[in-house]
Amino acid sequence: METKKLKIGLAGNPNAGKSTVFNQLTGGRAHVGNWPGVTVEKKEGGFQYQDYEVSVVDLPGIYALTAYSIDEKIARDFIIKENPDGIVVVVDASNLERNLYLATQLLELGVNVVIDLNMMDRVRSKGMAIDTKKLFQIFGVPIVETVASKGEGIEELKEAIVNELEKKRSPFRIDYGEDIEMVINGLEKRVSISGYPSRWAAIKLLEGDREILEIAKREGEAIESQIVDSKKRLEEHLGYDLETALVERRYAFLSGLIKESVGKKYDLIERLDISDRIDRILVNRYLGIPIFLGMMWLVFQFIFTLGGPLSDGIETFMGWLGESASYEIESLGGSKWLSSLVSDGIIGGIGSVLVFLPPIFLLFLAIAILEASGYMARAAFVMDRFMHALGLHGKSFIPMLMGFGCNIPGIMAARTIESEKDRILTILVNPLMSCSARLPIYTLFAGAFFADNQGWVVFSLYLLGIVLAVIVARIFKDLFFKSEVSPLIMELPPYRMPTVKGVLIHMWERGSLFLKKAGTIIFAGVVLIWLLASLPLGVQYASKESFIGQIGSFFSPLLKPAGFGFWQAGVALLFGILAKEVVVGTFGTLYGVEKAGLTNVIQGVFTPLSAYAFMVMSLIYIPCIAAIATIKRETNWRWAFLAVGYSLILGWLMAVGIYQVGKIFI
Amino acid sequence: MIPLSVAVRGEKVRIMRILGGRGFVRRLNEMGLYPGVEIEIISDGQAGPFIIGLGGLRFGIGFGMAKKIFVAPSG
Repeated sequence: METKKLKIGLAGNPNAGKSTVFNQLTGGRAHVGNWPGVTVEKKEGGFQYQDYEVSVVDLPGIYALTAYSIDEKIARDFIIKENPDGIVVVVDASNLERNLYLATQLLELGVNVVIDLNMMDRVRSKGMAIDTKKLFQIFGVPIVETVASKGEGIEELKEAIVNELEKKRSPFRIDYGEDIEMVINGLEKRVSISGYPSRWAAIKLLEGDREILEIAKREGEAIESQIVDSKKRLEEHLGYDLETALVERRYAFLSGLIKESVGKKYDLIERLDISDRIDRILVNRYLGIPIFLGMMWLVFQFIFTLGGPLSDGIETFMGWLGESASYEIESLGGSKWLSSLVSDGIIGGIGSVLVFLPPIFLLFLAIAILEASGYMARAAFVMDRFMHALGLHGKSFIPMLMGFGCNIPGIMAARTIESEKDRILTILVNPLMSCSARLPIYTLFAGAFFADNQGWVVFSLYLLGIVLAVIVARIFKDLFFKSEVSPLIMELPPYRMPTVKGVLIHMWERGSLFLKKAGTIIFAGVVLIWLLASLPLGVQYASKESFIGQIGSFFSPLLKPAGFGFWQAGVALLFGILAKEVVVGTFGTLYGVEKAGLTNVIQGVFTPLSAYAFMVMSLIYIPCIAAIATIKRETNWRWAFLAVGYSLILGWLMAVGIYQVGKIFI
Repeated sequence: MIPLSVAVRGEKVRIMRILGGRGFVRRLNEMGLYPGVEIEIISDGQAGPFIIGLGGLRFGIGFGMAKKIFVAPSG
């Protein structure tokens, strides 16, 4: 039997349970990537049913197809340009009126649609029913009832997708009322835009849809003045603007439809009562912020106390593996160079990817739980006013906080910010949050030079990072994102218990993406640094004669104004790009001392002032390879280069500034 | 007519006007917030973030935005 292929899109409002339906349909196996040109997540999966192979694309959660927001534009482009065989609209059956709006939009466009009434358990638990026959009569498309969280109705949904989707149906139309219909009809007769139903095009033109207007112009339709005229006349007649009127009529149509197809009065007060009462505590004026900070503290502890030992374990294991491998190679007669390649280069490279796995997976586990429970949406509002004062988005707070543990999960956590501009901004300043890997540097230098005020010195560095992040965010916003902070309005899902399966799938999808994409770049970076430290052939690893030593010597004059113009500092900073904690170990290697003797050596070559300048440099200059790779993964090379460039310049300026100004006083 | 930002918890109000750019107004309209619709103030800006109820839905609204939505007492 020959398999036939179908391609469908999954659309729905935010919180309609779309991802649960997606997981049920595809068995949780999805390919996660980005939509072309933007950093919005794209998920693709598939299933087999009868002799069909169906690929499913998860579209972003949207309310309509206006294409004002990036999410709506993606969905619309997919439907219009990729020409799928059909769209499944996932509808929260307990909120029919608001959720069916999107379905009417798709039907007006003439798309093949299956309507999935999801979360039917909520409707049934109220002793209510939805007359699906009535809905079928009006919409003329298959209606399937599901409870995706329990897997109910999924087979029926598959059946409808495969067997019902492509049946020819009479076009669906909403009656907009005599006055508006007259104008639509007039326009419809004069406009023809290839590929679009003419009634739909006429409505969109009246709504002032820029994309359709442009296509119309390109196809030589001289309609603009005509639209303006008829729109004006109509608005005078209506007393308010036409766009609002059209939306209102659609909702009026839906409201009538609901009255006909749902038996009892339709509300779900009880469920919301509990949710509203929880909100009264969790987002309370006085308790909101303390509760949020408490939650964050828990998440932080969860990630780094649980993840820390796991990472250490992986590090120790990889270290042991590297040593035994080099021992084996040398005892078999392999050259020192080869054994170093295997142990320091390859195994070291794999190790530096693997150590990030525990915190990354735990972070995504925590985020998935917060999101599924409904708290995440609220957290953005709790921090909104405070973060706005800093020029950032309410949702930027969590990524920034995570950054103190490790910038990689911090940057990854920015995924929860829908607005691309706010997300990129949050990602760019994240490396300024002093991650835990920089702490060993601070401890070494502050311990050697500021033993009495160690705590204050380290604290000042953390604070400096935060202040710089706020300033840099402000500047970048003016430079690159001139528009206002994206307005914050979001549907708040009712609080609910997260399901284990849903949470784990979410964690796995995002975590494995890091492993695949950022992992390869990190690995390549580690091997590259190893090569620079081992070549030309025959030199001692990371000595002055190696390439990296030469580069360090070359740059050391540049570091002179900052008070540490010797090649060892340059090399240590270069190695620091691998991972910041490596800086300390590099000094050890270069001066040939163990950790204990390092303090003495450091005290010999640094002054307190140049030591502070060096710590400031370590805080700011160039994010580590893993962070650069993650920035690239989450945005693109352009922003990754910017992050490297600005931090290097800023770090140098700050270190030089502190050293030069400090010299005047000391 | 008052801005939403000064409405109090428990109040039921009707949306009268939404100020702002076309895209913004349109977006709110399509979410179901358009003139004539009745909403309930679940949490006012005084007691934390702004939360409004629209039938069975809850929307969080940033403080700046609550100043742009004008409402009148309903009923």
